[in-house]
Amino acid sequence: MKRNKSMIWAFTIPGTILFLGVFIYPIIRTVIMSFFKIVEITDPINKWEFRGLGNYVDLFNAPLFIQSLINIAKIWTIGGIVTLSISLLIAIILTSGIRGKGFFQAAIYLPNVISAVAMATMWIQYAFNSSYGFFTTFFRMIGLESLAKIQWLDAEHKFYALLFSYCFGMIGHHMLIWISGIERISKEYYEASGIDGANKVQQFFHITLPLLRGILRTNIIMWSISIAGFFIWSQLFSPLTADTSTVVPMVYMYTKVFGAETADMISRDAGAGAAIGIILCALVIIIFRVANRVLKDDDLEF
Amino acid sequence: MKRKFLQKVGVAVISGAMIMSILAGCGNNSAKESTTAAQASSEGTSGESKDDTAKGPDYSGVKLVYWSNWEATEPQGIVIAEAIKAYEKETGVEIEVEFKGRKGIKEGLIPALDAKQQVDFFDGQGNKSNYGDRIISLEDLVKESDYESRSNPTMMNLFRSYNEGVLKEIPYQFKANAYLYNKKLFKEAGIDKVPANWDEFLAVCQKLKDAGITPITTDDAYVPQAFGMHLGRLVGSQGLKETINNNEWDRPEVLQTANDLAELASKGYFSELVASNVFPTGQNTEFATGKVAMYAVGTYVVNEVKNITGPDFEWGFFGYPEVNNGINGTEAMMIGGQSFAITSVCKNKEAAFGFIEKMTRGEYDEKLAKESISLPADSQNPSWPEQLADVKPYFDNCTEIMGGAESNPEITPALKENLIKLYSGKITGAEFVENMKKAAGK
Repeated sequence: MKRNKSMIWAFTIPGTILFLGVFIYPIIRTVIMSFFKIVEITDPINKWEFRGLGNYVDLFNAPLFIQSLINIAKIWTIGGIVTLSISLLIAIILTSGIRGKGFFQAAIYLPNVISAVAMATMWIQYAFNSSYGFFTTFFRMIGLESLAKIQWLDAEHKFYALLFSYCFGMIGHHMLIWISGIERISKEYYEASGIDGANKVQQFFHITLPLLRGILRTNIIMWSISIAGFFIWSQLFSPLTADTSTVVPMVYMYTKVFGAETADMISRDAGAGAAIGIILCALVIIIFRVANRVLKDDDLEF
Repeated sequence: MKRKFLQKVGVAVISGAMIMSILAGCGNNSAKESTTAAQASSEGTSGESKDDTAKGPDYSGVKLVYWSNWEATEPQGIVIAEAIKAYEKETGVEIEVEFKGRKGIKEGLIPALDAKQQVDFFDGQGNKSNYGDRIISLEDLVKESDYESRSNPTMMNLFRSYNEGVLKEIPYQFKANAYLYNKKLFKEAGIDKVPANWDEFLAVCQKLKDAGITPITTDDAYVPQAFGMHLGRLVGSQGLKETINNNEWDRPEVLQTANDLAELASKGYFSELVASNVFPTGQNTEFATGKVAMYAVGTYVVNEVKNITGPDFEWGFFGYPEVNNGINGTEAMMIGGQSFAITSVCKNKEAAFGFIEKMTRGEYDEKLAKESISLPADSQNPSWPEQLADVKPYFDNCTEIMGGAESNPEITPALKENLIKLYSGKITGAEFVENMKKAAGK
C-alpha cells in the first residue's frame, strides 16, 4: 500500500506542536528561569536578573532546604523498602490461590481511591489524636498505658506518623503492579521446580524474584516519581506553615514561589522555585538511570 | 502539480483545525464561566432597580470584574454578594464577582493580570506589596471622598507601610491577636479581673490550675504568636523584626522570653496535649469545647469555631500582658486585616472604590462584622459583635503595631518545633536558644 506521507504529516503535526508547546517549552523555560532572580512566575523577561548558579548555591546553603532533602530521602528509602516489600508480600499471598482474592485486592487498593485530604484528616484526627484517636483508645483498652501515652504527632513521632499513613495508602497501588508481574510468570516453572523438590520459599527466591526484576524497576521508578511530588500529605500534617520534621522540597518550593502565610513579609522567588524543580527532576532522572543500569532484565526471556 | 497543491492545502486545513479545536476547548471554559457569573449577578438586579430611591452616582454601562478571596458560602462571601446587589441597584454598575478562595488569589491573580485578563479590583490578605505596579495608589480617591476620617489611623499607617508609605490597599475585616479566653471558666476559678502584667498572668494561670482547669493550649501553627508578642514586649516591634529576620537568637531578651514561657510549662499551665496538637486540634477540641481556658491567637478564631462553641460560649479577650523589663504595654498590639485593592487595568476606579467604600462603611461593614464575627473597619460603627466587645478598648488604644515572629519563613519551622518542645517542657529556655542558633546555622 502506498503511504500518503502528507496525511501522516497532517495527523502528527498538531500533536507534535502541542507536545513542544505544552511540555518541552515549559521545561526549557524552567531550566532558564532557574539561573535568574525572578519574583513572580509571570514576570516579563526584562525584569529577570541573571545570577548564574546563585539560586542553586543559596538553596544548598539553606538549612531548611537541606532538611527537606533529608526528609524526602528518608521517605524514599525507609518508605520505599517498607511499601515495596509489604506490597510484594501481599501480592504473593493474593496470587497463591487464596479465596476472596478479588475482595482483598479491592480492600487494599481502596485508600488509593479516597482523596489524600480525606485520608490524612482521618489519620490525624481519628488515628493519631492523643485524646480520642484510635491508637490512644486501643492501647488504653488493652492496658498498655505507656503506649497509650505516646503523642504520635509531637516533634519526635510526627515524621514516622506521616510516613506510616502515607505508606499505608501506597501499598495497594504497588501491590497491583506486583500482581500483574507475578501473573505473567508461567505456572510451568513452578510445576517443574515442584517436581524437582523445590519448596515455596525456594521457588520465590529462585523463580519469582528473578523474573520480577523488571517489575521491581517499574515499582522503584513509580515510587520515586510519587515521592518527588510529595506535597499534600506534608501540608496536611503541618498546616499553614511547614514543620522541620515534615518539610519536603515541594512544600519548600511552594513557600518560595507563593510566599509564606504571613502578612509581615511577602517574599516570592520564582527563580529559586524553578531551581528546586530542576533539582527534583535531576534526582528522578538519576534514580531512573541507576535503576535501569542495576536492574537489567533483558537477559531473561520468559 | 495541482493535486499536490491541493494536498498541501488539505494538510494545512486539517492541522489547523485540530489545533484550533483543542485550543478553543481550553479557552472556552473560562469564557463560559465568566458569563455565567455575569448573568447571575445581573439576574439579581433586573427589574428591581426602577423603583429604588437611594441613588448613588450613575455608573450604568460600567462593568467591573471583582475577584474575592472568600468562598461564596462563607459568611464574608454571602455579605459581599448582598452588597454587590445593593450597589448595582444604586449605581447601575454591573459587577461580575468570582469567589476564588485564598489560594485562587494567592496563586492565580498575578498570572491572570500579567496575561491581561480583566480584573478590576480584588480582596485578600493584607500586605499586597508583591503586586508592585499591578495595583494603583488610592491616595487621591481616599482624599476626594474624605474616606480616612472614619478609619482607624493606626490601621491606615500599617497598610501604608506595606507599600512604601503609599496607600494602595483599603483595610477591612480586622483582627487582633492576644489571649482569647473562656469567661465561664475564669468565673469558675474565681477570677474577676484580666491580667495586665506577667505576674498577674501567672497568678491567673495558678488560680485556673487550682480550680482543676487547664489554663493554656495552642496548636502547632499558632505556637509562635505568644512568643512573638512576649519578645515584642521586651524589644519593641522593630527589635522583634530584627531579631527574627537576622537570627539574633543570642539576644538576652530571647532567653528571657524562653525562660518565661518555660516557667509556664514547668508549672503545668499548658495542656498536656500541646506537643501533638496539629492545627486545628487544640483550637477545636480543647479550647472551643471549654476544656481549656486561654489560647493566644487572632480574633478570627471566634468565627472559625462558632459551630463548636454554640451561642452560649462566653468570649473574653485581653491584650498580651506587660512583661518584666518590657519597653511597651498593651498599646503595642499585633493587629492586621484583609484588604481591597484596585488593579492598574481597572476600567473605572471610582466605581470600584465606591463599592469598596460600601463594603467598609456603614450598613455592610456592620453586617460583615456581625456575620463573620470580626472587627468592623468603620470607626463610627458603634455595634461590635458581642463576642468581641472586649477587644474594642484595646483596639482603640493601640498606637503601635507589632508584627509576628513569623517574618522569616526559613526559620519558622525550627521556631515552631522548638517552641512546642519548650511548651511541653522537653527543653529549657537555654536549650531553646542553643537549638535556634543551631537551626539558623550560627
